[in-house]
Amino acid sequence: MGNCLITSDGTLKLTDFGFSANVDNVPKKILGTPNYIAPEIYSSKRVSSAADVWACGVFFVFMFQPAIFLQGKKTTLSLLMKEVVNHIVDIDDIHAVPDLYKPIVLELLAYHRLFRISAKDALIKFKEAEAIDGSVKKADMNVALNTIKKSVKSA
Amino acid sequence: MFKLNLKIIFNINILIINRMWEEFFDDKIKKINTIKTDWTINDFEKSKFLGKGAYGSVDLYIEKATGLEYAIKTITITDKIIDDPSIVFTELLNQIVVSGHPNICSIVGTFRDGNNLMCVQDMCGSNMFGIDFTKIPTKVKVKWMTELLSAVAHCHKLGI
Repeated sequence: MGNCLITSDGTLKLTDFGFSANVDNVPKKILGTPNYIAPEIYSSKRVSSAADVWACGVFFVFMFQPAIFLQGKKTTLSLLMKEVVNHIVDIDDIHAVPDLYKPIVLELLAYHRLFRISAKDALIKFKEAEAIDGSVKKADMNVALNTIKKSVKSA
Repeated sequence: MFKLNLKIIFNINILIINRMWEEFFDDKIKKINTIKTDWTINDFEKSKFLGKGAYGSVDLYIEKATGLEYAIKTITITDKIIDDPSIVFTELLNQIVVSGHPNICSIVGTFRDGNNLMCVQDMCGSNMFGIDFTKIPTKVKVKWMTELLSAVAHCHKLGI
């Protein structure tokens, strides 16, 4: 989340690279945003592009349901790691996501990295779904930009 | 005697930093045409603090000559970085490689200020902490998701 910035015209920009590949940083991240770490990183510390795809999936789910599948259950670090490693995301975990996007999100959050969709394919599927749903209207964007302005002011 | 030793250690550190800088800056960065390398700290005026990263802070600076806003990351070269320069430089080089994509915050330039490595980035806007997502329309969320995936796919294509 901290790595995504929103510009004044409502475009998302990615920033802060390289830390995801640094295994030393993993414990720190577990404390902050546990769900963004893919299960294989907990179990084998294997970092790959599939882990980025997992993080994208969690980001999307987070926008619809801030309490994602494991938040609130965490007690200790080791327990939390066990929970992520043993948890397979199913359709009940992502109940707030619109039905149209549920199948894609499940592919993004596939348990094993080899079964996870690639970012490129996911992008194509999202664009197809977006075409069915209709693209963003100016009014929608203004609502979003106003919400961001308010949250910046209150912070 | 003690004072003399300290002086020697200090000088060696400076030498190492200078050598590291030459290796990194002259050999790698100056060959990339898209990056501006002739800025100094005097070209900018500090405006406000934006955030803190793992190896330094990010501040909003205004370029005196043009009035343009830039987010500049200050990385102080510490012993940890001298031991393993790749922790900072790999990240920086990676970001330079993927710069230019519309959904990636690009690095415009980089320069040295004493023992600090300064990375000049485009001013991108606010981060997403604290946003009330219940008030954001679904279509906007999907637009952001396609933009994020597009940026991630771009990085993967370039092997990052």
